[in-house]
Amino acid sequence: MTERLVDAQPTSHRPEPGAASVPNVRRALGALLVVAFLFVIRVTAPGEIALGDALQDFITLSISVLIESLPFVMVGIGLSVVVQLWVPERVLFRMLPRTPVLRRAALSVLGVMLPVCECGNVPLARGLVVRGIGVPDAITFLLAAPILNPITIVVTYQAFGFSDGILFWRVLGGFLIANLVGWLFSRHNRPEDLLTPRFQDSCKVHSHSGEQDRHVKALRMFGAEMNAMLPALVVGCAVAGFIQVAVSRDLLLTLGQNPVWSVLALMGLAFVIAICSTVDAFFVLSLGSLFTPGAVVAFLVFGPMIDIKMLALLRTTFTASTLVLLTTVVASLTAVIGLAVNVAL
Amino acid sequence: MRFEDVLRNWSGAALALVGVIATIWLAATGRLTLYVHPRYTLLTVIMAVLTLLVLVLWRR
Repeated sequence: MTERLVDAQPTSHRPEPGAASVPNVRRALGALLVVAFLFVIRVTAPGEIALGDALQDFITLSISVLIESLPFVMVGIGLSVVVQLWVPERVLFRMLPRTPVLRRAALSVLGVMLPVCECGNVPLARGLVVRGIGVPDAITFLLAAPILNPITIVVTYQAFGFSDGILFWRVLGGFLIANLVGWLFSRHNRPEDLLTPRFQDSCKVHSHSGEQDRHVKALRMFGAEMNAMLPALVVGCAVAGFIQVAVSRDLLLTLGQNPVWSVLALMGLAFVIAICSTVDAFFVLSLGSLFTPGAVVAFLVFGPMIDIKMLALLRTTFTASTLVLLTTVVASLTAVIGLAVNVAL
Repeated sequence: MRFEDVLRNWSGAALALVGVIATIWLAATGRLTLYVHPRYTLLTVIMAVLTLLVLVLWRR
């Protein structure tokens, strides 16, 4: 499958050796500069000198998103390596239904067994694609797993119980959107073109890598995934921190009680704050009285699927046009669900 | 080794190390809960230690 996926790519689309890594090198350089900037400010600013509020907020918010995401990314990278090296092929392929719709439905609930938040699912989905899972199927998993996992469901229940059907619509909405998007991308003539050339090449390297001690190989793969994921994560966190400072929350809150604008406002907030799906229910609980139930549902459905940090992570794997399409479709479907909940209630 | 190669091969490990040190430092000074939901402080610290272990093994 991996062979097919890679060989289907025309030679002309492949980057020159070294050329494909230039964006990654730039991203790595950008990430290191961001970290160095934060470190220098933190170390050189004496306690008695107050940094400007905006700068202090930017530093705190960026570090907060990063520290919160890092363990989940590491879990995801670890699971990705395990899937690639230790999970037998028969478990991956023979146990999954052959019918595409049923296979995507089965992959949607894989999150029940792999309870990591959305940032951890990116390296895991990369590992699944490397092992030969189809790109649309991996996208379905990527979108559904952060919502359909036990931690997210339990935390949402603890925050909202069964009130206003928020938990029900979050789970059902996540499942429906993930499968609809997976189906949509499965209509693509060449799903492998949804991937960046660099990631396609890394799939090829994986399929041709010779026999080697699996533990050594696991460490090498762990290092390679860290090099791909962490610069993107740091840049994504910095952008999330910057936008949170730049965008007025007061503006979002004033839109709260309008049935249409409240949905869009909380989707925008979910996109900007880039909070993990395992704790987002408690965050939005504090806003629950200010916003309509449909807006809360939209926040809880959209945030785990798409946010700034996720887009930065996903860009390591998918082309920009794929991400624009993905974001547009997920946002539209989420808005429909949020509005429908508001109309029904 | 060229600068680009250093970046390509070491950026992930360097960033992970910064994150791990920051996490352990925040936990040791009792300030981790300012950044992470209290429910996940233990997971965060455990993963920081495991990541440190992997980083050591990775470069051996």
